[in-house]
Amino acid sequence: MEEWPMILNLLIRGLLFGGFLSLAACGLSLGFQLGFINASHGDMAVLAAYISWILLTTFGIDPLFSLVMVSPMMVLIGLILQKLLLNRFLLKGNMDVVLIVTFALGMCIRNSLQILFSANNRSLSQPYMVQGLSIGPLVIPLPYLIDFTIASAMFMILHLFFVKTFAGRALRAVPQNLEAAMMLGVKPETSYIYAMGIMALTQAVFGVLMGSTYVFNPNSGMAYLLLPISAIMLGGLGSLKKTFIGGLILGEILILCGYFIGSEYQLVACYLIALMLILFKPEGLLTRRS
Amino acid sequence: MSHTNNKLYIGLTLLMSLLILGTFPSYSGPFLTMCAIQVFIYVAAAQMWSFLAGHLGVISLGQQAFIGMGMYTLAILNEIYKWPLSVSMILSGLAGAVIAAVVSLSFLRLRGFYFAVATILVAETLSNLFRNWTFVGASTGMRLSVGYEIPVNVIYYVACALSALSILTVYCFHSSKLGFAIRAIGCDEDAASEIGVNTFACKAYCFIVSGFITGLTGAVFTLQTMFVHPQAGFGFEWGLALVFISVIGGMGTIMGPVIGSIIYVTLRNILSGYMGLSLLLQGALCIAILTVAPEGVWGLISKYVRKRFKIPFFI
Repeated sequence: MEEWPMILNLLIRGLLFGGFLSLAACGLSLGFQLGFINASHGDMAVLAAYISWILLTTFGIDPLFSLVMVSPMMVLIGLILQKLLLNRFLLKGNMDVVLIVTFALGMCIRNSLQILFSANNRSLSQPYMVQGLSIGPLVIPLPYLIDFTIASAMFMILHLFFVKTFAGRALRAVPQNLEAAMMLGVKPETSYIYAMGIMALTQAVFGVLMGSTYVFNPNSGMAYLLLPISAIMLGGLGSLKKTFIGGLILGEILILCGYFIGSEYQLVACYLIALMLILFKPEGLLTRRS
Repeated sequence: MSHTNNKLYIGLTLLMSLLILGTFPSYSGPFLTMCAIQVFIYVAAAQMWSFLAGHLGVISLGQQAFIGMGMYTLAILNEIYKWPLSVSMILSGLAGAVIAAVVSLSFLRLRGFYFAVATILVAETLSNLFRNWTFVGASTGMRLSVGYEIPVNVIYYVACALSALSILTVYCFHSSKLGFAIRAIGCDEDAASEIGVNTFACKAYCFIVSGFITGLTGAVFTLQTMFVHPQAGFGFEWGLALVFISVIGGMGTIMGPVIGSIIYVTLRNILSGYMGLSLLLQGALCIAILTVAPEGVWGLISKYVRKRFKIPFFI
């Protein structure tokens, strides 16, 4: 029976980590719904982490506070990218080209970071973060709790955006029925720009938090593209709620596999599950087959 | 009349290139021979990628899975079990084909980016597995001692034959009965399946053949580098290299990947001390070409020739 607190700890950790991962998944799932995939998704998070790292080392700005500066910067980068580069292909319906372009873009980001900052591991971790909250036998690591709280707050804000504002509703309408949406005055190019803005915003927050929880290097981006994809495969497309729950399941899988099978097979297990889902249930675990 | 002329020209060109390529190692130095081997290797792999992406709309970002499988099969069979080299080479191609068969039978029915995502996931899974497999040296990799015994010239001819095989395969795809089906799929997949083309079987067939040739490419690459390493085999550099070569040269053409490979190898060897810069430049060039001239260098050349000299110009 003395194993129970350990397993409970792992489960809590998995939930917190999963909620955090689903933050990275929600931008990607938005792109999926609009019909394109941003293959530089993970690299954008790493880029945000490096911007925050510069702010930390040169100006001594706390990573959590630097979110206020990193997010607008990343959103600006994302908007420029979308407006000048990706919209060109998206409006022509060249979704495959968007995939190749963003793949190349990810390579550009990764290698410019490597030239500028070398391939060494960096961390944004602050002394006050490396603590655990202990409640009885349970120990909750503080960084995980911070990540989860901020991620949930972001989800609430995004939910309000999608439900209350015209831009948010337009964004939901475009994948459902493009022609009807256009008849009601929705411009697809504006929707794409909004989608990229949200993507860049969530990746900025995700990147900075990821940097303050784990170490990162210019090549960390690929895992942060494939893990969110796995989360989307688990949850299914369609709503923020599904993405969030998919992320929670993925977090549990990762943490439990890491403990019971070994951390070197963590990612393998997760990718295999995602592949199985693509194969047998591409609409996701939570969607009923109609 | 013009038809026989055309055949004559093609025959002459083939003979010329055979002469030039056949005698190349005897008058070029060891460095140029090595460059030529690299060009052949990239031509062989990129030809397949370019064909799949350009004609069938099958975008695979996980071709490195086949390269890596080819590499490791050769290393395991030849280095550990001491099988003869030729048998191990053929089997390493087959290993690529097996992975391609599994991937295509499972995932090719999915449209668009789901397939691309599945290929990346397969490649990453294999990469992680091989990185933790101590039998093949885990993340330190292993040496392929047979590479030291083979003279460079032999590797040159093997690589040359491999790229010829790749080009010939694509040519056969074009000119056979299958070519009509492929062209129909390239124009409109739904319409093609309406008129009775088995689009799935057609794509799967081409993908498995590409797996075989890309696996062989991995094996030949290992002969040259004499070393097997998870990053060298399953690294994303392969994915980007193939995308870059095909996009720069021109997707869906036969000459495109050849030109692209020459540009790629030149760029890589000039910037060999600055790996990051070279990759950055590749990514940037790739984006620029896709934005400005999506038909690639060969597309531009053939357009110019068609306009200037008023002669039909295919390939």
